[in-house]
Amino acid sequence: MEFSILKKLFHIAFFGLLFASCEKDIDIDIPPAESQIVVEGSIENGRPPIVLISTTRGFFEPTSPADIANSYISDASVFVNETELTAVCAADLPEELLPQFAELVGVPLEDLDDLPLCGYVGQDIIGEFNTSYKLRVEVDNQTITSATHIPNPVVPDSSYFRLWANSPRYGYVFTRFSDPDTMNNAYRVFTKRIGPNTNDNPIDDIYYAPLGSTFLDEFFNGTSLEVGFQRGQPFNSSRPVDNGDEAGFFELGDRFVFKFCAISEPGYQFYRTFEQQLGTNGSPFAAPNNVITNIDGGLGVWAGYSCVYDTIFATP
Amino acid sequence: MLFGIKAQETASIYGVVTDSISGVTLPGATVFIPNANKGLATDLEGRFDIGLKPGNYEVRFSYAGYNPTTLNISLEAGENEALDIQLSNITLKQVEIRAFVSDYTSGTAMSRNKLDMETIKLLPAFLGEVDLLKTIQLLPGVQAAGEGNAGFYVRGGGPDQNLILFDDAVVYNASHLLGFFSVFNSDAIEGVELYKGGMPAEYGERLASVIDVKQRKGSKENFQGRGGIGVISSRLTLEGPLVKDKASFIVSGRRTYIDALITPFINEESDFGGSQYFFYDLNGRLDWELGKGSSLYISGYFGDDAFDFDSPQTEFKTNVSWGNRIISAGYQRVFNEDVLLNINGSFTKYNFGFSGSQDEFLLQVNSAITDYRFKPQLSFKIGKHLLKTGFSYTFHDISPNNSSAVQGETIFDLGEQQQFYSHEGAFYLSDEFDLTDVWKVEAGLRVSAFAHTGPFTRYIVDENGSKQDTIRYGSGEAIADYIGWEPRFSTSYRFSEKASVKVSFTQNYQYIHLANLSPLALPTDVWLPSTEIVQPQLGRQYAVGYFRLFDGGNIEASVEAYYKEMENLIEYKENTQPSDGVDNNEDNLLTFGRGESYGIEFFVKKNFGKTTGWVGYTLSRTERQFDEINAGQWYPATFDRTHDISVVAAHRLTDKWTLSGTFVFGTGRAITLPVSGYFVENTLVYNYSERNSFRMRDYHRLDLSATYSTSETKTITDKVTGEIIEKRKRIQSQWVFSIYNVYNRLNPYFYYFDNQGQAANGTFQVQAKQVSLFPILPAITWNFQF
Repeated sequence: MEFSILKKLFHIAFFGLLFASCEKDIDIDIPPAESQIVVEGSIENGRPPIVLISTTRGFFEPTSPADIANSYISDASVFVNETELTAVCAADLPEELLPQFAELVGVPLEDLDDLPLCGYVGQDIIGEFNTSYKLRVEVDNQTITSATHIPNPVVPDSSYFRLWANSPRYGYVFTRFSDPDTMNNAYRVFTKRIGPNTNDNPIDDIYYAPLGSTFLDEFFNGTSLEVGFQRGQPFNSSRPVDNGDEAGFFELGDRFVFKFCAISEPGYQFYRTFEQQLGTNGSPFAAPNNVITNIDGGLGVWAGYSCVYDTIFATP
Repeated sequence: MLFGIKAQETASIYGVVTDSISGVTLPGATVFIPNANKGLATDLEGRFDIGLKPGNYEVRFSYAGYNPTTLNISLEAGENEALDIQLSNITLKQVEIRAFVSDYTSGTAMSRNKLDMETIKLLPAFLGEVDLLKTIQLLPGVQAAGEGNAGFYVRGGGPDQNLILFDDAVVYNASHLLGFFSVFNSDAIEGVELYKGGMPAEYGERLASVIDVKQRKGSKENFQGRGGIGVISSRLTLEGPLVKDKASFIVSGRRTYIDALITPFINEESDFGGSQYFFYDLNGRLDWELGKGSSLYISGYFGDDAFDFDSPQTEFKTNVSWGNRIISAGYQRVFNEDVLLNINGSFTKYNFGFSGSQDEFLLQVNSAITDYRFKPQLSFKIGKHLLKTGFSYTFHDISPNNSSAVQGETIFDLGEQQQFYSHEGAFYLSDEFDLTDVWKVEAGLRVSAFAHTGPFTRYIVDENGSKQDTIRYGSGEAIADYIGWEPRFSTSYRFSEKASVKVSFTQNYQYIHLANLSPLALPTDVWLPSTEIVQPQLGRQYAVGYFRLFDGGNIEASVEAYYKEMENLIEYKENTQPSDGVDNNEDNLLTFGRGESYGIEFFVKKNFGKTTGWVGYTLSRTERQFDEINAGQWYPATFDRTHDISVVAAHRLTDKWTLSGTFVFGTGRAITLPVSGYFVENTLVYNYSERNSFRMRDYHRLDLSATYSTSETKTITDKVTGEIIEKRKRIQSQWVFSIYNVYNRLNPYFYYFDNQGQAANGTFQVQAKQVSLFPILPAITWNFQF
């Protein structure tokens, strides 16, 4: 959302400082902190719930894929509306189910080999509009709970690619939608480049949320508006297409899916502060704040989404 | 202290000490009477008044850089002798002044420092720019907030708890470019008085300190000018008589050219290409002697900072600007040596504006604070009591963070513009008197009051920030009001003319507050008045100190301990975003708490001789407790600094060369760091620890400078007599060579954690990083006077 302009201000406005500043690596002695349970869960209309359970890690602990995979817990008991979810580990799945699992857990297929995660999937539950879902997790002699709901859908009038700022090739996705006249409607968007395309750009295995993907209707309640978004890309991506001039842009010839979702209010609070932290890390002008969680007894999020998918071919 | 008459002292001497050529008054000049064992320093207007028993006296007048004068006077009972003292500037001779006793030990004044510009100008300056506020930060109990930070902290108080006065008008943001420079052009300033505690009843409005800055009066004798050309900015001051010996003017201007200097170095293609920044100051003053002891002045300050960014790559443009507009006028009447009337009225406006646009989206945010102020004061003597009474009234018009945004044809509904109107006033009475020959007391009471009135729209919000109700108040309608009693007390007991102990107590209320989102003070910080949600801040300070003179008054030393408790401090609630204030009342975003500060300050100062300077050391602690922050636990304030050391020295090497240096050391700033992390959507999320539980590395820095003064006279042959004579040059000049951060220490500005790579491919790692601002920075400045 364009209010990320304020983040941009803090990032570049005081160039004088950055011009004269120097940066160096340092060693900091941080005492080990108590480990906490982290829940990353979501349920979407027409799909089963998916929950990942992990623990917090110290920064300077080993970070090999095996170490990180080990911080995910596979022996918890997870319930949604008191129906138990099934623990599913990538290492145990047949190959034909991996792409679906990858999309469910939000890890690219190619990474699943090296980062064999376990997640909890609700095989008997399918998300429905305007329905509440309670989460209960039993792990390590602790009980962790949360609640969310899937809001009513908001369907955009239209979504399309548009070239940006006189560029002959690059642009953003724009969507025009009408916000319902009720208070506190929250949204989150995702993009996924798919094939076939005419420009050899790599396709995405999973959906990525661009920065500024999460927003609330506090300034446009009940009105129609048109908003633009960048292309979502993997965190710390090393793909050339995600760095340099093309970062955040779609290109003419791309085919991509634009996923427009209404999100529950607790989910909005989590992802808003999550993006705020991402956007301000490294800035001296922002107060360091923890991401707001709706997990009782732990950290993380249990979010409900109602989503609409639109496949777009980028033409001028 | 202006007036001081004891029992049985029925005579006095009073007057003004001035420069014999320019007529400019000399604040802080020493007046000493050895056989009465009395002395004091002239006030900021160069005035003195000393009570004496009838008799014969030798009175010595001296001032750094001037030839001393001694007068022999004879006083009879009831005689009050007016003295007009003119001191001549030392030209070719070395400074070798000895003077004795000021009111350092004899007055009740404690927790107070007076600085004159002559001292300030000798010290090495950041990029060659002499700076008043930077020098104040070298005194014990006053802590610089650090590079790139506009605020400063006095005895553990926040940056909004310092009242900065410029010719009696309030200055809300006294910094250019994030605190690198203050708004005070050193050529236009007479001097400054800092009150850290033991605040007299005539001052209030802020909890931590008062910084009273006075602009110089123009010369009533002849037309003069001075200025300088430096690395970052240049300045020019012109002054002179409008009516000789009666009226004078002074005008000063300063502008930076950082934009012109830096633009060639910024790659147009880079993120910063298309950036522009500049600031300017303009100040002036008119003084008029009306006769019969009356005088009038009008003073003004205008200054702005502006930053522009116009990205060549994207359509992103931004403009950020902030500035002060200040006008102050005053009337003074000296009825007789017993009665003095001062009346001042002023107008202050500080505003901040931001606009950012990208393609068809435009966002604008503006905030402003405007004050109209009136302050009369009467000082008079009844018997052995020196009484001061007066009142002050200020009308505040505050509009914090008003925003508007459009996207093409869509106008975002950002609610009504916020506006807060309020009235602040105080009445005070203080009495200064001698209980005995060696025991002096100053007691006072200040009663302050504050009212928030309409028109105003109050939004009632729930805990999630959603609006529940709206209340509209009409024009002038009372919304909230407060009254506060502020007793003041200080006393000094003199063991001898060399040593004394002093004790003080100050209670004060603060009705105007600064809310800042980040740990650093920024021009985006918002001033807010007290409302029905924001209570006035309350502070109580207890201080005790021991003061000693050595070497006949050449060396002043003191040890002072203080304890402060503060209530109703304000902070934004955790996770507040700038946009949360839109279509809302800014004070709905705040949470309230308390604070505690205590410390001990050591100070040794050498006043005269070839080498002068001071050493200050403060050991202190300042903490905060807010129920809604840090889970209600006490935490160190951002500016808590356990050890703070300043060493300042100036040495006159030869007639032409003066060397000076400052060394500062401070315990590292308290910061909040993440203690663990977790992954969501394959992205690392930081889990932060208790607030301010880490310390950055210590800060220390050495600055050196060398000043070369060209000869003030030149040798010429008199055309008539053929004699070779020395004639004063029309233009006097100095070259100042300075080095900031001589040993190039990379002091930490802030820390953050950078992460690279991805978990899946084994490249993920987290690295702690330190950002520093200024490495070694040499500078040259050329100063001139004519």
